[in-house]
Amino acid sequence: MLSPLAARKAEKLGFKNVKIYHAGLPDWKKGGNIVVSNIAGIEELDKLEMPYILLDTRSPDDISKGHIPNAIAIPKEGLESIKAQFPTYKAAPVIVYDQSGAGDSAKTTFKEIAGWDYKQVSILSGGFHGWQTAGKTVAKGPAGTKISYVRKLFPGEIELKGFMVELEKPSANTIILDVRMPSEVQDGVLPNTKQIPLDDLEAKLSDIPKDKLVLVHCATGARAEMAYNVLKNAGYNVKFVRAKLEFDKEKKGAYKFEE
Amino acid sequence: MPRRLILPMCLAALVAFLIAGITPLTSYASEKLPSKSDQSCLKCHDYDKQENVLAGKLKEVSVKANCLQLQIDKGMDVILFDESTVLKNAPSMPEIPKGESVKITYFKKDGKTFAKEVEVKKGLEVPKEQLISTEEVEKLVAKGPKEGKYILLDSRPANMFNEGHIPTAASMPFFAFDKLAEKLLTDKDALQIYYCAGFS
Repeated sequence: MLSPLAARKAEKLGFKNVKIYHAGLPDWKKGGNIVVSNIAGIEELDKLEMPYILLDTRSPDDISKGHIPNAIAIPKEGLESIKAQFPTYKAAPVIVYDQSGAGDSAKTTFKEIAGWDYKQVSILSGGFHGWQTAGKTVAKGPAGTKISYVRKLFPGEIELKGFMVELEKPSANTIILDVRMPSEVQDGVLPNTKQIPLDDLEAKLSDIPKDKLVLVHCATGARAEMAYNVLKNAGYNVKFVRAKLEFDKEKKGAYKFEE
Repeated sequence: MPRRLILPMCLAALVAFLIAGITPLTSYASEKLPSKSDQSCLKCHDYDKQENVLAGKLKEVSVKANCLQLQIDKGMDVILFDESTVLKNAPSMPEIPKGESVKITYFKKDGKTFAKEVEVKKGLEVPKEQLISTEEVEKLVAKGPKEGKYILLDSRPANMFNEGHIPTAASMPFFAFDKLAEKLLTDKDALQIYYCAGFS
């Protein structure tokens, strides 16, 4: 929803050759395309102490000369042999790297893991070479051999499971806020929710009681997180859910909500 | 309302109008009046620099009373319409979704506010010719920005970009657009492609 707004701004600045890839990242992923992440992404996860799975696709020799701390080496028996170690939480960040970016080994590994339905797989842009060139810490010797991922929530995040419990049986002390646009709200709403588009949130704070726990959702989690920040700064007790919400176009009221 | 009914109804309305011989309301529409706009509209439009505009969120439409209620920030405006009011982007007044952003060109008559034109700003709906498909983006990305003569811009917050983005994209969070425009949009001729987390 942000891209059309950005395109309008570009047009306002006088640019004529402006297109909107409205299907965006979800469709790009669906098409089996590569997604890349960067060093800042790893650093942010480290800073927030968020767990992630980092896979080094290079040879044991190269790995022992130097690798990114916390990396796991893909065993010579192949990726499949450690599949059971992957978490059930499909939105766990999985970062794959090779020597210099999107080489074949990184691409193959990316595709295999994305094929297992993991939603947040990426190839580290620039690979190990980029990491080293940026002056980041390098570990020597063999890399890890076992994935030990335990999900941790983002600051302010509520697990979808807990959110659904509130949604189905709302307690009197909770208010569930939907910050999608009116045009999206037309596709359907979740039961027991109050609609205030993110754009209007600051102007409508007086509509939200301060003594309640506010749970925020949108259609992806991005705007819910922005709303979380707005409300938190305004002194609310608030949590947000990071999950993808899709209403069935054919069956009224039916929806899919998944992390 | 079924589409096939609209034309006969419009014609009927027009005939009734001519027979009644009423002066069309729009003949009062030449006076310059100040604009009033909801803050959210001003993010993308400069209605504050235009005249005769009321922009806000549609609250209610009453066909019986030929009027609509428009919410502008915290205030509520009641605006009258009739058969001569031009309606854009919606088949009929009652079919405009509640809460949708609308831009109304207005005039005053006998102290009342009348709509000359009601334009539904389907906020974020995009004209088809401006869309680019996954296949087209795939082809461009395979060529790279130089050969493909494009710049791919990710409108999501920077942390989401860092976590994962389309190869060759640059991070341009929507809320930092103005700050980054000068730095990123340097090539006037290059095709600019904006993307985010999809339709939702």
